[in-house]
Amino acid sequence: MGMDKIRHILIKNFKQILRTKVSSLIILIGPILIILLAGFAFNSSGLQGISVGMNGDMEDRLNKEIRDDLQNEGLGIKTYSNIKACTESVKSGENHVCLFITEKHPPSDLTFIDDRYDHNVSISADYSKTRIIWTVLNKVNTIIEFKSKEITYTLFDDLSGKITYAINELENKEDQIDQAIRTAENVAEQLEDAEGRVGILVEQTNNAITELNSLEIQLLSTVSEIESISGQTPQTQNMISTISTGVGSIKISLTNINENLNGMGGIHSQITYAKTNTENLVNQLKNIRSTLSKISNDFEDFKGVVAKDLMEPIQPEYSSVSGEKANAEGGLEYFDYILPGLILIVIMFSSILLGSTNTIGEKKNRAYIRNILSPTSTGTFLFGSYLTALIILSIQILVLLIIAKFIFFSPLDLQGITVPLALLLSSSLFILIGTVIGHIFKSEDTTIIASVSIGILLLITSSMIMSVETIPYFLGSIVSLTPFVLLEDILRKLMIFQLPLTSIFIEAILIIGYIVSFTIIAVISQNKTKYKETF
Amino acid sequence: MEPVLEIKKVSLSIKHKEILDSINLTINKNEIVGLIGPSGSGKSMLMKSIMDIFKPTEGIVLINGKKLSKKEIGYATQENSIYENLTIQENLSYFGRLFGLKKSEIKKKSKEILPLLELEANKNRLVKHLSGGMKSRVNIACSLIHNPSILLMDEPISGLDPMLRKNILSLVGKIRNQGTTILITSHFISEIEPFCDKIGILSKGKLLDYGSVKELKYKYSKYYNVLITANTNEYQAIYDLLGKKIKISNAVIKNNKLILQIPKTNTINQYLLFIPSALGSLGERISNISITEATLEGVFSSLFKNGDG
Ligand SMILES: Nc1ncnc2c1ncn2[C@@H]1O[C@H](COP(=O)(O)OP(=O)(O)O)[C@@H](O)[C@H]1O
Ligand SMILES: [Mg+2]
Repeated sequence: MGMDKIRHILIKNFKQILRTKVSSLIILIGPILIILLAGFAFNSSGLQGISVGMNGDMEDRLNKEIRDDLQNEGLGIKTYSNIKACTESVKSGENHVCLFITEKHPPSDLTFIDDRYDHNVSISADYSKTRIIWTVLNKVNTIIEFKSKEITYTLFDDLSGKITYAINELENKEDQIDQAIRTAENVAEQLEDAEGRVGILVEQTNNAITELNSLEIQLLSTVSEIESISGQTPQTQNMISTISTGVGSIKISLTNINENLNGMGGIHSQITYAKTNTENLVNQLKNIRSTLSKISNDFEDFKGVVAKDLMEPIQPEYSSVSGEKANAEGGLEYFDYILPGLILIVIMFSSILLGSTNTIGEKKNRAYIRNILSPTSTGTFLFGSYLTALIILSIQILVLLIIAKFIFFSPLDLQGITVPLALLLSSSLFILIGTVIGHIFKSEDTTIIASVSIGILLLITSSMIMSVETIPYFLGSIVSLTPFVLLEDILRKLMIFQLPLTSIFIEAILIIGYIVSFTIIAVISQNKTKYKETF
Repeated sequence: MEPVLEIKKVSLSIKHKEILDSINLTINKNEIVGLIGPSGSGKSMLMKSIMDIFKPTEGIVLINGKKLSKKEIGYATQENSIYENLTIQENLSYFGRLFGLKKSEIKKKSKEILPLLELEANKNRLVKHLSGGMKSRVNIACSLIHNPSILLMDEPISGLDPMLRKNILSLVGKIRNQGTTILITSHFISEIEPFCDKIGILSKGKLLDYGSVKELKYKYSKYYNVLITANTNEYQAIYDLLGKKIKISNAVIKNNKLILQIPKTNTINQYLLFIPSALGSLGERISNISITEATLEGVFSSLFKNGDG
């Protein structure tokens, strides 16, 4: 009989809902609208409708290039002749951002390398349009950053080319120096040889002179011996004079030779000098050579360096923790990451509001008294209104998932049983919270205000808004146990990471705990307030 | 004489404000009882106490000799408690289900009630599209669907024009003829009086009188009402002085007027001459004296004028 009553409560509720067109429209269209809007807003494709104010001077290369880039990204461009007009256009709402690029005066030398140097880039935006402004600024910044890098690359690649050229030149010169060293070494060798030979010649001449001197002395002594032996005879006289003349002439020629040899000694020392110099030259050449080769070795590493490697020495490769799926289907988009939270927001507000407005609406209905005066338990009514809301939520959830899957092509795991189940668990909890609110508050207005406030409060604890890690530990541990955060965790684990059910065990237990608690609170509050404010 | 509803010494106070004061009332099977009293006198609160919406602080209510059973009472609240977005038949079916009726039972009972309350032709129209009188009848129909032994009707005719009031009241008799006992509240005494077997008079939470219409009519036709207007602080002296010379069966001060009930031992004109002279010097300070025959309605209008409870 209980189930039969619940069935008729459901029939009655749905008849009422379907017969008030506004409510049924809001119930169905509301969530669809939210998810569609959010989907289009977060799905990165569309920047159409965003307009940027820019300098109208199209002579300037940088300005023109950035303008073209922005246009290629789908942003609308309006041009102005001065920065003031451009900034004003943002204030008046005509443009979202003003990106005014002007040349610097006077230009620095860098301009000669690349005429895109030396520009003033001024960005002004209306920060009160929070979400859109960050998207637009992001895009504008990305393009400017890209352009800035491109310019740096151009310059650096130029520089790098020059370094490579210099090193190649050095390497060429090394060969030439090696050649010179070899020649000088040859010269030194030959000089050494010559030095040796001249030395020997001088020595032999000196020897000859010495021997001649001793020969002369011997001759003279022989002559004197002969004189002493034979006395002075004409023969000896003759002989002696012949010998003396001979010795004398030898002496003269030896002296000549000696004199010449002395000259030779100068040649020798000059040869030695030349040799030493040549050897010094070789050493110096070798020094130069080794310095050169050190230089070219040092620069060898820089040869052919690409600007990108140098400007971005660390190039991280980003990979997502969500695993294979991210790669398999071309990666998750930002939209996919926020989708679980987004769905949860829609479900939360929808559930709380449905739960609370159903309850207060029924309570405020004049027919309510006839319900509670019938032999029907509080629990039956509670379950009836819970089921009513849950059925509507199921339809909404289905629609949300279909939109996510077939309109935004989310690669997330939305089918199967676990995700819908988790979503039903979510709506159950929020419906009960709404029911309690509906029983506690006394008018439709306060109930709706309270529902929205509670929803916002829970939403603030969401990881989309507040990160548990950055708030004080005590607060953080409370926040991490709030329903929204727990459910967000469950959905992320199931939808993005596709973890097994065991991974959400603790969260699920806590949520079921919440559900049980709020059921009890709902029964108590319904019993406590059932006759109040009805008359 | 088989009592269906017994209200025994029922008192109710909310936040130290006395709303019902020791009410004793017994309604027998197949009676139509009218409970009359000015607005705020506690008629609705008495019904809510019967329904246990407000638990009596003292006393008990018995239905067929037993404590409250929701199935045995039909309660047509002062404001129609029916769903505007359901049809008449859907309202009947829904509440029938809540009372545990089977589909066939609902069908049978509907066939009985709808023609009785002249709703048959409109049974598939949404309540929100119906006229005030029809809504009132739907409200009664919904209170009857589970076949209660007693029907409580809280001001079923207030807010309706005279034609519709007659229409509703004529149905009350028909309902009784189906075997249902009825307690009906109203502040239109003359209009409900012809349809009631008994009348209870409620004022400021007290049941001033209760009896058959005949009894009450007879009772009140034996009296004159004397209305004296003077300075309020003279009233006690006037009462004392007159009390020595004529029999005063009842006296109240109402809207700064002293109302005395005196037996019809002389004609009105005789009293009009006698009373001022009996008051002597006090009589000069009286600004107005009027004497009327006490009818049931007369008693009421004097008691309840200016909406004072
Ligand atoms: N919900 C309530 N809580 C407290 N007092 C009430 C409530 N409803 C009515 N009263 C008071 O009870 C008294 C009787 O009211 P009520 O029974 O509605 O009068 P009526 O005879 O017009 O039906 C009035 O004084 C009213 O102020
Ligand atoms: Mg009333």
